[in-house]
Amino acid sequence: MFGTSLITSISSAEIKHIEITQDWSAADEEQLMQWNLQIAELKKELEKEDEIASKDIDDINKSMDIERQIWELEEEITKITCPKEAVISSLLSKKLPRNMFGHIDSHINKIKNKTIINITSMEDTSHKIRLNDFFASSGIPIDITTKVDNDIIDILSFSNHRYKDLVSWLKNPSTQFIKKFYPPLKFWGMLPTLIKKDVEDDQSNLREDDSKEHKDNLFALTHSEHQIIALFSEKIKDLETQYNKLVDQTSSFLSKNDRPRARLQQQITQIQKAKKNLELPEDKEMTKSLNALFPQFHDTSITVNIARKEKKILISFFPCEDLEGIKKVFDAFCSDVTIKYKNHKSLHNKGVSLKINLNQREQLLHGISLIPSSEVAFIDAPSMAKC
Amino acid sequence: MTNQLFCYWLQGYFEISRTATLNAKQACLIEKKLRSITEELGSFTNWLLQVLEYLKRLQYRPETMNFFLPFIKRSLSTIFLHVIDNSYNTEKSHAELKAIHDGMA
Repeated sequence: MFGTSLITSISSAEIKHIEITQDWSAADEEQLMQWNLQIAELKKELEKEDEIASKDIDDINKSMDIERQIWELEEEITKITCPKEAVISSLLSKKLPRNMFGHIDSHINKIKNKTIINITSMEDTSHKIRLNDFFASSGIPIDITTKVDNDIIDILSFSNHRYKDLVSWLKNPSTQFIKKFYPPLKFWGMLPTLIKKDVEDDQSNLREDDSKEHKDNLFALTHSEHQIIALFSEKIKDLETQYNKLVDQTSSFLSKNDRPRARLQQQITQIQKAKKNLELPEDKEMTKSLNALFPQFHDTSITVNIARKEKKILISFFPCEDLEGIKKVFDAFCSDVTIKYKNHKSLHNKGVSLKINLNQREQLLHGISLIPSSEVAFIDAPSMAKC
Repeated sequence: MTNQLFCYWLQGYFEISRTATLNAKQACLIEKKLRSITEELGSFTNWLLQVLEYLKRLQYRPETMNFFLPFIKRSLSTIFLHVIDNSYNTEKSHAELKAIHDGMA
């Protein structure tokens, strides 16, 4: 940051009135040098600020990457500790009516030693009672909770040591949701056929489900799984430490509302404006005269600046394509007029710029003032009317 | 000489000399005639005097003189059209009179 002296001197960079015909003095040169130094110093500070900002952006990106790594590791651990379960899902999907229940997803939680089944429900009133009734007949204690988010999801949870009992119960052809509870009225007539078909389906499924059944490691973590989990947990811990450190750094940056960048930029702009006013003050009188002289250029911006060191008048017409017309006027009043087209880089428009010797300013102004403003400029003259 | 007589003189001078450009000698002559007006200068003659003084200051630069010549001629023609011709009772139309002033008739 700056010392007070520089800040104080910057405040003196005001837009002062400059006599545009006044010669460029040693004091002006001194002032300009001082401002250039100040701008250089302010720009250095600005660069430092930008470096800090870019480092913080790096830190934010790093922390996001760490967050992703942690999430991936946690996913891997979840895959080991809570593997997907296919047997119950498959059996249940055949037992539960499709017009009432949707997606079924189950997993074994090896840590809590529980089997969890998530069932998406199509309705929100009686499904829970029906599910309770259905599973109550199994005689296995099953805890059912309902989560209502975008979907209605019933979460069923029971102890892993009753897993095989539930599978057996579900495989039993007599276990029928529709048969025992509330079939839709229109199905009553078809019921004997449906039950017969269900029994046949179940018997064929038994063989299929047996092949899917997990072996001994279904509920317990193996030694190597324990090792992987320990390794991943350790890695997650490290990553979390790194993450917290980065978040602390970036949040302290983000919480600093008084970052000096904007102030530095404002100071640079202020000095640059004062510098331009010293080196290239605007010639308002000439601008006014030229605007009156070229009323046809109503869409053209005319700017006149005095290059005090060079002792030149810089005139710009933008946008403008009538170089010849402008040249004719200025050649009438001034010698050594430099005139050229100037293309604006970003706007793809043509403009005309002129350079005239400053010592011809008065004769130019006087000459312009003598051009009659209109064809009938003199007809109202009382003395001529007497003629 | 009056303002009006000067206008007649200048009109005649342009008609006779048939000049498309103005030189230093001609400008000096016009200024001399202008300065012989004995009454208060009118708006046109006053402006013309200022133009001639300006041209003298710029040492009768041809570019400047040729720039102002059309303004001088047009302003003089306008004076005839709107002021001098209106002061006469004549059967000639404005268009005819203008053609005469412009050397077309």
